[in-house]
Amino acid sequence: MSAAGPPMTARRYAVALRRLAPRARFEACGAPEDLIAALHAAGLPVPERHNSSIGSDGDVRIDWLGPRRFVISAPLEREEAVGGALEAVFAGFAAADVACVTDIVVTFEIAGPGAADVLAQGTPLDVGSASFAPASATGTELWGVGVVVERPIADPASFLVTVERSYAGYIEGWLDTAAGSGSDLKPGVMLACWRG
Amino acid sequence: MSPTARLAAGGEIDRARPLEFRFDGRQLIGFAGDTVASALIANGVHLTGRSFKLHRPRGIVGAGYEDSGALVHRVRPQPATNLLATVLPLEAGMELTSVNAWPSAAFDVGAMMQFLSALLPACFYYKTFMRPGWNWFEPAVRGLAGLGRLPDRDAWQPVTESRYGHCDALVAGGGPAGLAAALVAARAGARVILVDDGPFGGRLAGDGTVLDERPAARWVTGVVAELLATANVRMLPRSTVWGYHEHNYLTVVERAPRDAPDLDFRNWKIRARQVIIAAGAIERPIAFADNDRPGIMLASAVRTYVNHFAVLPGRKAIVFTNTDSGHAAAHDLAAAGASVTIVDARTEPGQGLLDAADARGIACHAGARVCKAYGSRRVSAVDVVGRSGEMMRLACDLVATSGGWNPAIHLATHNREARVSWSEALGGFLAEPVNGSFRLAGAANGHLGTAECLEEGARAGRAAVEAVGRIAPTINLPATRSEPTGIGPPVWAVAPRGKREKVFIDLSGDVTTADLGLAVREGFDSIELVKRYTTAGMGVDQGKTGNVNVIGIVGGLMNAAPAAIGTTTFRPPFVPVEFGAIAGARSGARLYPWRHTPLTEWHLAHGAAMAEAGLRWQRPRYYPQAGEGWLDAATREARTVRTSVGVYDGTPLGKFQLKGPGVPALLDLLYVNDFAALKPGRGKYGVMLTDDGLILDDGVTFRLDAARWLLHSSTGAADRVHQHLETILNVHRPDLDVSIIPVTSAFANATICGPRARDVLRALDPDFDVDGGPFPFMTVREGRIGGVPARVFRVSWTGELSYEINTAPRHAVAVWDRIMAAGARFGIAPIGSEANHILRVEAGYISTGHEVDGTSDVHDLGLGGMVSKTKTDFIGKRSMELRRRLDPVRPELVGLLPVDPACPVPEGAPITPRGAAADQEGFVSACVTSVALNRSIALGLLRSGRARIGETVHARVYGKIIPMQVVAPVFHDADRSRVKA
Repeated sequence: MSAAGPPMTARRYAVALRRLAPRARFEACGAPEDLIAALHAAGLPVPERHNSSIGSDGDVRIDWLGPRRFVISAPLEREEAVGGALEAVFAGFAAADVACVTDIVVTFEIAGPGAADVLAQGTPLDVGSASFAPASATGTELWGVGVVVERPIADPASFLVTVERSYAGYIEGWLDTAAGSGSDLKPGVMLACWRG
Repeated sequence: MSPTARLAAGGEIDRARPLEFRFDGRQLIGFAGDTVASALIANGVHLTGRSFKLHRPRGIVGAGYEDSGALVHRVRPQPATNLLATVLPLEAGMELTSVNAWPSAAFDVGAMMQFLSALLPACFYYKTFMRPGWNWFEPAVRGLAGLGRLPDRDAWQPVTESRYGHCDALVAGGGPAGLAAALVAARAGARVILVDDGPFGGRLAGDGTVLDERPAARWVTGVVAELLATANVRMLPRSTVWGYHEHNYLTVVERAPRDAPDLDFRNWKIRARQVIIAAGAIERPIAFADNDRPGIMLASAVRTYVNHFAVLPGRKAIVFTNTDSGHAAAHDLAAAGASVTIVDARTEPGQGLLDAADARGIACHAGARVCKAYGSRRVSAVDVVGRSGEMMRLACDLVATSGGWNPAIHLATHNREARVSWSEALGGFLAEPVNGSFRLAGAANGHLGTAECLEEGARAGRAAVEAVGRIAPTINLPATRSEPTGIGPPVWAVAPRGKREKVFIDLSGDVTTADLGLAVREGFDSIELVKRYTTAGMGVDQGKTGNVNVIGIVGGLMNAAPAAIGTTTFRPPFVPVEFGAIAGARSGARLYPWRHTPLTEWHLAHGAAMAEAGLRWQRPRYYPQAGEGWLDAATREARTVRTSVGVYDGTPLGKFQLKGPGVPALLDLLYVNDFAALKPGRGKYGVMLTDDGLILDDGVTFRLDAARWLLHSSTGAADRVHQHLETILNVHRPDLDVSIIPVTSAFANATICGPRARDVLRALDPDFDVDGGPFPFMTVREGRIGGVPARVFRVSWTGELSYEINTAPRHAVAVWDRIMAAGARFGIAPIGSEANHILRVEAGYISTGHEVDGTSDVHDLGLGGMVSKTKTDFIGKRSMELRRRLDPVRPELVGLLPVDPACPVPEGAPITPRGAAADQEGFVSACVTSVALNRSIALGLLRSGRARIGETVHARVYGKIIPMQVVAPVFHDADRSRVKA
């Protein structure tokens, strides 16, 4: 880069990025009726519709991500208990299955008024509050990588991005770049003129 | 000191902020709010550069993106070239030079090209540089072409961002129609994005229009303020919709975004439910001999310079027009102090216009035409032929031409969802949407009056919000005064009086009416062919000003109406867009999503050289020790495996957990061999084919227990295999009750391999028996290793005893460290993919991307024995059998031993009969220096290869011929005793 000005110390967007502590995570796959029955049998609630979640970060949360796909997450210390319960329930279903995928993913929290601006740089998903209401959860693309984006009920101004661990570094770097960190403040010809 | 052509008052410039700048070495002065073009004109500079082909003097024609080539090179502050002066904001301290001129635009050595113009007709280079070959002439021709030169160093690297956007209604254009449409949509509560090149208002900002008996600018200010204050509206000034793609997907470049001071550009990728195109209209010129002289401009541009920039482009002006708006330009010039003469091609322009001109002291020649311009670096006079054929020569320093208005329909036709039709009344083309997802409004739809624009804009806004299910409010539009908007019959060009006179129809590409005539005479009877033959419409303005004139002239030459000629195809980008703006921040580490295993940091800490191992996974290629090159390191690592033990990171191997009563049937359909009878705890190697009967992938599938199976794919094929499985279950066999969970990254895989592998595994304290009897080849054990839950597979891809230890990634580094510690006494080495390659070639194992190259089947690779003799079908069976019946002579996998044992053969090298330059009979798929045989060995596919074992064949590499002996494709552990130990 040429004619670089002073480094930009503030982010372009008002966001806080955080890599969250891992949660126990279980991927359930099967016919929708089997999955719903299995969750009921395990004493867990079921989201009302596809691409939504129920529960909370502090407890068990269930995301319905596709016709044949649920994700059950829980505090890490409950991994064995929740996993054991799910294993026991799913053993009763011939073709519905569950697998522990705790280590498979990393979740980032993007919080603050600029969160949607950061996400919009990577995903074609409409993350506006009207289209992607609190409790929404869906699989989408973020900078060319498959991710799950959620809008938690507890903090609708923030987003959770869950990405496969192998891509975590790439996505983390992108989030930082998209937030504006590390870019140089370079007043271009237009800046000087248009902004006065 | 104020520049010579600057008006004493008026304009939207900030006279309190003078800006000094340099152009071609001259120190000049402008004001904040100027463009480079307005500042140059203010300083009396009209010659800005030289033309593309003939190096003729050229100047400023337009006042926006329609300009046909007022390009400048910016030396500083940010070096860049081919910048359009008419849209480039002036900045203090700018240093600019002209383009395509040396040493300057005023004295250009290249001007001698003008004397060669007779030798440079349209398409001259296609006709001329045929022998001995284009490549002989290409460097010289390219050296002459290209306009500006890229800066050698320190080129401007703009800071850019690329992002998506969504809205109910996108309004392209912020003139009267666009503002009215946006206002309606905004008040309806719709999510609106309003885009405009400038600061909003369009022509209202500078043409003196009165709304509600007040200057229109006040109405614009009020509407803009309301829209800015509306939460559901996003205003994008200084922005251009540069592409309108399928399904209402639009691309917009935003310059100097207001909300991001560090950004130069933001590229928007917007999905809009409804689109309103209110992009206005572009004035078209009237061409005549030598109409490219600096100082000959569009009348609309003249008005902009006078009214918006307070610059008088000429003191003695000729307005050559056939429109009422041309008269308005004349009045603006006269009001600014210029001496003006109107040359109106219409015989009856209307008494009202004539009276108004007379009242202003403007001479008006009705029924007359300008037929030639004079001057060199600036127009100095024109010849005018009067109504009765009389000739007049009128001195001037400015010619403003107005030949009518072309609605800006470009965006509307980008996505091929509009019908284009000719409007006789307008003398231009209109676009009509063929679906309800977008609409045009205002001048873009052929309505030139302010009242029409406002009303149609509001109508379009209402229709758009109703289409997205909202109730449209009624808004009060401002009252307008009547205004003349008449346009006479089109005058595309005034015919030259001699063959030597050049009438430029496309200034960007130096295309003349004579070029068009030549193209038509030579049989190019389609406007698309004429365009390509002459390059008309292919210059920097992409035909924005000249295109319709070209169509009209070609129609005249072919005795066809413009409607029959049709338009060329408009494509994105509508305006020039910097590549950097499109790319955004996608560069360097943000360019490609590399994947990393949980062990990456360990590998890097131990000096691994990393490389992609398929599907974006980064794996160690080798671990060099002091003084080692890659081959030394790979050879050492491979030898360690053969003699003792090594360990590699096999995490990226694709893994899919299957469950359900349909799994056996699925696997039997998927693989060529039988899987249904596989017992729990055991695994089986399988090969799957595509529908075409060619190998898709191979791998080992284990039955973990009665209900669950684990299917392994190769690393690079994991996504392909997953898609294949889902396709089978969702399309071909939805009756199979199976669930699939991808679990590739759920496990870290450390594979220990070598004759001491069992010793190392035993030292890790497993809670299961690791001896060969209880834990035989192709079985799996689940248990704990030193207390860590683990799943261990006995498979091998190295030709040695191997154990694949799978653990949760959270334990990966600890387990790996323990393996290294346990193996230390055996001299364990971590090995990379290069050593893996040596080992698998020695063992004769096939690899995706080498032997499995998308053209081979199982028989080709010597795996025909695996094909089930009992199954009636599997995917690819019939295609494979049919292909083999049609052509039984197939390339077959063989081993190859170069006659010179030290001679490596490049992978991919063709094998030809006796090494002749002839059709190849095979190729070398892999070649390594074997640690087992201490010589060069290779695998290859050779036509009828298995029957040719013992023959000598020849690889042909860059003319060098390498003889190789054909042998069996296994060089190590042929009986697999080491693997099964």
